[in-house]
Amino acid sequence: MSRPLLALDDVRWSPRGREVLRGITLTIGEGELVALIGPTGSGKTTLLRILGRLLRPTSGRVLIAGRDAWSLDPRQVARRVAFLPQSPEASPDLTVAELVWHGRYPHHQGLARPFGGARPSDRAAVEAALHQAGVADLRAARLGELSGGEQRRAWIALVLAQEAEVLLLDEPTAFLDIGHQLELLTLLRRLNEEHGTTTVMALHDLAYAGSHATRVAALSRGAIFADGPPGHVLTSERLSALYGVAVTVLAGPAEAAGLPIVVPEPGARHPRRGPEPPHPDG
Amino acid sequence: MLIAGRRRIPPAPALVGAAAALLGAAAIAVSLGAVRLSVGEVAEGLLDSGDDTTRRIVWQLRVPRVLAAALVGGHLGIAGALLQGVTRNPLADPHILGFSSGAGVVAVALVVWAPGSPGALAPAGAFAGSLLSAAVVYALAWRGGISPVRFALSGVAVAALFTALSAAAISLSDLFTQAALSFLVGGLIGAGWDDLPRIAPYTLAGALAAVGLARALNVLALGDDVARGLGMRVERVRLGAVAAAAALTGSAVAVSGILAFVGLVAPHAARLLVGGDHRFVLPLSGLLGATLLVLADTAARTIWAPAEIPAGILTAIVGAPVLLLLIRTRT
Repeated sequence: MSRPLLALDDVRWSPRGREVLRGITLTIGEGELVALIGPTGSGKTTLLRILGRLLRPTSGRVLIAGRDAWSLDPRQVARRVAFLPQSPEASPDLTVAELVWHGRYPHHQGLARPFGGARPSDRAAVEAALHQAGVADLRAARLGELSGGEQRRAWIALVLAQEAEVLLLDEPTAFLDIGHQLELLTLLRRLNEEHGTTTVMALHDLAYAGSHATRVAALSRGAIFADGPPGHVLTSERLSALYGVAVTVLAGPAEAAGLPIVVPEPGARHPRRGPEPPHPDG
Repeated sequence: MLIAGRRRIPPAPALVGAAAALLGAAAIAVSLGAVRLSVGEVAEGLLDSGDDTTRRIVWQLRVPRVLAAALVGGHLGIAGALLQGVTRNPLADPHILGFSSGAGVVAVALVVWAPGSPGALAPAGAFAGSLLSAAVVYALAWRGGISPVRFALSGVAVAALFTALSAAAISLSDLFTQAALSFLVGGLIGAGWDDLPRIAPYTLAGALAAVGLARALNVLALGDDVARGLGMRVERVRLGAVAAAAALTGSAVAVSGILAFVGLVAPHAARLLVGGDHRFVLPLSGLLGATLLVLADTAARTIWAPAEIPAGILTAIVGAPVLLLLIRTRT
């Protein structure tokens, strides 16, 4: 396996006794593009927040490049791990460039913090991020003037400017139409292939999980239900058990390397909704 | 609710313009009053060369009062901008969130029960009262984190409670109605040189804190989760901004009583002028708050001269319609 960047060791989160995550052990290696799938409420967002050190687990350890995340300064963490929530909001009057500059926040210390700092390294990072996310031409545009897809790419540019090793994205395609969904996931895939950007994203769309991720991890009721290459996880039995609806998985067209396409069968409820972890699967 | 503001003017000219407006307002304020002075007389008085009466009016009465009005207005403007930024709520201000009334309770208690206490005690005590009410509001709003809406609603409740306590203390005392009213409504009647050194340290501390917090508030405007993802200790920034706002508000209340609307209107005007960047909104709110209160206090001294009305009546008369306008245009 590639160099581990992030690892969870038997992580549990149970606020007020309600078990949201129950014993998650997971390693994210360099260069992976991981899709986190699972029914609503299975703990995808919670898992991402714990990976990004936004939420302290009830027990278990979070390791960032081998070091305990909670022994690190939050800014140190932010220089290694970037987190983007599902629907971030900013003033519609902010320009794209102003938004992306905020990504440099964890890199500034001392007097550069209050005053922003615009060192050459900051300029270079912002410039690279604007280009990578495809919003360089929109740098002077205000967020309020952009389409939903353009706004989402501007936010992606912000986390890219952070120059972290891992991007954690919560539902990056939520509320986008299929054209913009495809555009965004193609961008993430391209960043992964060309720049080796490691990404973990929660995703609802199983077809995209199959076509764009290099690895799929399925969560069910707060535990890992299946984890592996898309073709391994996205099978009709596993998905039917995971979502409680019968699904058919078709082999994708050859030009898409035969990646799986997931089709639900209307009306047919799968008898087992939400399998009981632990499941004999890795 | 997002705090927005369309950039109309680049920040540097806006700040220079606001500073010029403050100087202009101060010049008007020194020349107007029960005795109207000409520009020449004001200049003579300032240069210590005019006749005794003019000099006394300029140096002993008007200049310190204008300075006090400017400092108090500046405090409230900056405190309002800090609180609106940190709660991401455009209706937040030191008055609405109960910071002023907490300061007011202590200030009233000192006047009623410890009339001979040293002058420096009033701002310190009012600061403590302001912090106390901030802590109560914070505790009431806390549920594993602070939601802007809960924070504002708790503030309204605490403000009502502490205002009632101040009013109770005043009605049980033998304070003159005029003094009591000018405290509860707010104003600068009787403000003089000895008020300035009492409030100035808080001005300095509050301004430094505002400079230090401006960029963090910009990041916080993107939401708590984004700010945390960028490595910010969100609760620490929030606590710092609340403490700075309490220091600014408490010391202002010790000098002027409870003034409504300055802290609400000044940041809104600032954002309308320069947009949402706190590096410019904070100083501009201070300058605009100062200008507003200098003008309101001048009007309060001159409309019914030689009688004076509390400036807080005028800030409310101007502020209430502005607030209604904001509600109509922004929600």
